[in-house]
Amino acid sequence: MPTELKGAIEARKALRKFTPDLSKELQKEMAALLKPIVTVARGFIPATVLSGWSKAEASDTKYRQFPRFDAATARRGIGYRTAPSKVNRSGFRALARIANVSAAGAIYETAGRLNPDGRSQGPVVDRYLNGVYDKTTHTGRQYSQSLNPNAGKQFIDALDATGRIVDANNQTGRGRRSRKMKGRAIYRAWAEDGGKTNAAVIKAIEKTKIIFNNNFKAAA
Amino acid sequence: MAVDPQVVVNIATEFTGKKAFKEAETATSKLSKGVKTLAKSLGLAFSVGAVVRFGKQSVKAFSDSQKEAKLLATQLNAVNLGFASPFIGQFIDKLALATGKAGGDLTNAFVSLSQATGDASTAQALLQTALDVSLGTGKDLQTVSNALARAYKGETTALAKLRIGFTTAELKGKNFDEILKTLNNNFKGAAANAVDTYAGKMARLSEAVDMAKEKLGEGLVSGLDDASISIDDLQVKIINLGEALGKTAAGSVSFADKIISQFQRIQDSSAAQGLLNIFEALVRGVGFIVTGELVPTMDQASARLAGKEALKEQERGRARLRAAKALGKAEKDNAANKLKNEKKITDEKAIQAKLDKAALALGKGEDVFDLDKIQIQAAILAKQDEINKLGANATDQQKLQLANDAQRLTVKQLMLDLEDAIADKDVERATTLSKQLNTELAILGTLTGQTYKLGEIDKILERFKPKDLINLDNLDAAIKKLNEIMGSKFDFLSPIMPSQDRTGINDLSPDITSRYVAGDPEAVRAVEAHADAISMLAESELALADALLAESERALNIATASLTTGGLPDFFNPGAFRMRDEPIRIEIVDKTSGLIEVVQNAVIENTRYGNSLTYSGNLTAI
Repeated sequence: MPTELKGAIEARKALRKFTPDLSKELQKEMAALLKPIVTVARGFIPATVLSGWSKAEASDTKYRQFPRFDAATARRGIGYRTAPSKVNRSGFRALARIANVSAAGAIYETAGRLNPDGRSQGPVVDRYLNGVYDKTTHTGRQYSQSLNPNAGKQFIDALDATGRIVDANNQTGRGRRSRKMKGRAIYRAWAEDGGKTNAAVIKAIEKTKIIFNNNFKAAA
Repeated sequence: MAVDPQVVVNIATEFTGKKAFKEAETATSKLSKGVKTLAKSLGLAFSVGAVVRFGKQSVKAFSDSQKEAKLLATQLNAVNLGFASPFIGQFIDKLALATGKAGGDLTNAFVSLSQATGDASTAQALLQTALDVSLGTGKDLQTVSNALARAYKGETTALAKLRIGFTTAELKGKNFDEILKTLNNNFKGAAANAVDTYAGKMARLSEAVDMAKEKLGEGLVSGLDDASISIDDLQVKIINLGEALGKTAAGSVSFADKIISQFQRIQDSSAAQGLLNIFEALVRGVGFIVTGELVPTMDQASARLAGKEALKEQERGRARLRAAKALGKAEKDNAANKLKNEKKITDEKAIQAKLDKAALALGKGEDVFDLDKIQIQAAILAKQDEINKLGANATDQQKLQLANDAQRLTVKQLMLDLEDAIADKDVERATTLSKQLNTELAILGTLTGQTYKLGEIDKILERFKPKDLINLDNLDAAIKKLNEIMGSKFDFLSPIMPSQDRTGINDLSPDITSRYVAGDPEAVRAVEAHADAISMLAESELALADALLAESERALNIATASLTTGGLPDFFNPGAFRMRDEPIRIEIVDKTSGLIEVVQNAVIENTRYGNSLTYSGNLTAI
């Protein structure tokens, strides 16, 4: 669970409105803090994972294909943002983020964190098609779509061979821990940072708020 | 960077909640912030340390205020606006409160403007504009005011140097009213917008505090009383001191000068410093007793104040930087817009050129299908065809008529061409066509004149000759006379008039000659008169000879025509004209000398134009 601040969003707005220079300085400071994490996270992206995953995609399909893994694209997809995010469903906004946005990079990041052995084969169900009853496997998202029952596990094992999934959630106390802070690249880098960057970012924000308030007190 | 919320590390999150919660929180936050700010302001204003500092600052503020007032009065007196000094002072105070600008800055700006305009109301309006520009651009108010004052006098360089959207060339092309209008349009409401910001409101409060300081300095005793400081003795002393100073000052010099100098003396005097130090110690002691905290000393307070001033200066620097950046961006945008507009204009010109070209082609097409021109061209061709058909058989009159018609058509065609050239604004072509038209009109005029003259000639000839031939009375008389002389022989070739012997007509008498040689004026006049008479006689004879020659030619023609069969009536039978041998003497009474001259001129003129004297219907010579 990330650290929660109070008044930080309003402070950022005020900074941008009254002291844009100070706002930019804060953004630069935050960027300087986040950039090393991004660099480390990019280093966790392997050059190749599975030879077949790097093959060129077919060009004439009408559906979105499984994204081809390209190490350079995946590395480029890891970045940071110092602008406040939109409000999520829970009503939270983040003042800074590190994200893995490329499709293949996100798959590499998260594959196996929900089902470490891959999705299971769907159960056999009855199907009525063209006036004929027969049997077929369930095609739901929670089931593997492959004819190979071990496809998921083989894929995840191959990814695990290049990088392990690390849980970056170091929160303690009551409650269930979310799995959503687990991953092979950015979450691993964030976990290895041990919260130092997080504290530094918050400190930078607080420091700027203090400077801002002092300036206005002085102006008053 | 589209962010997948599944693969993101959120750092330093904040719960903002739903919209309604957010609004409620915002309102609460604002309220609490406002309350805190108010509390802090009040706390700052009425803390014990602040009161001491406030007291000292008040004296200085009042001193400065008086200086400003005196400066304003002096400057207004210089431009004969001294009577308006109190009202302008009030105006500046109100403006300072409304905008948060320091009264001193406004006074200096107003002084600059009033010196330039010499008119209080104009200076007030310009001050408002200067404030708008200053707060809209971040430029110093005094700089803007000076630039406006110079611009009012016609020097726009300073205004251009402000870099507020004017170029030197633009300013040179405008008068001050236009410049002022543009400035008001561009920066209207800038001051109001600036004042409406948090910083603007704080500046207004700050200005109010400054004015309060002035008021406190003006009435230091009442100011200390408002601060609830129970230092009665000090109050009494200071009141007495102020009164004494006031009375002393009122004696000989102006109130303002003395107040200022006396306050400065108070500030500088060790006695006043000692009093203030005692005052400070008392306040610190009271503050410690009341709050339980050690009130900072004046030095500490001054150090804090200096720190805050440094922060303020830092903030001002940032504001200037922001304004400069904003201006740079605005200029960049302006340049981009200008470039865009120029490109647009260039494109429009290119399109217009294409349209003009198309219009020209269309015009050419219209020329081709211009019915007037076609008809004229056809008429010219028809005339030419007519001329060709008539060929050598055409009479001169017909040829002349045809030439006239053709010339008229040519002139009409030229007129149409000239109209087109004028419509096309083709000066060169219009000039050429005008010249050509003039030439053609002259030709047409000549032709028309010839026609007229031919008509006149016809009339003249009709009166002159045919009347003798056709008039029956004359004819009868002639036949009768011819019958009388029947048998006599008429010799057409014999001289009609015997020539006179003019031998010696030029001879002068010896007496006249000798006198002429001697230079006798009468002899000279006589010789000249004699020469003139001889010359006139010669001319008269020559004219008569020409007329007779013409008549002879005509008679010869008639005679020649009579040789053809059926050409003449019987009385023109040559046999009937066979005269007896005795010569017939015909005496012509010269009643036609003027007529002869007319005929002669007509003949000469027509000969010069190459026109035959025979006309349509006349007897043609064989």
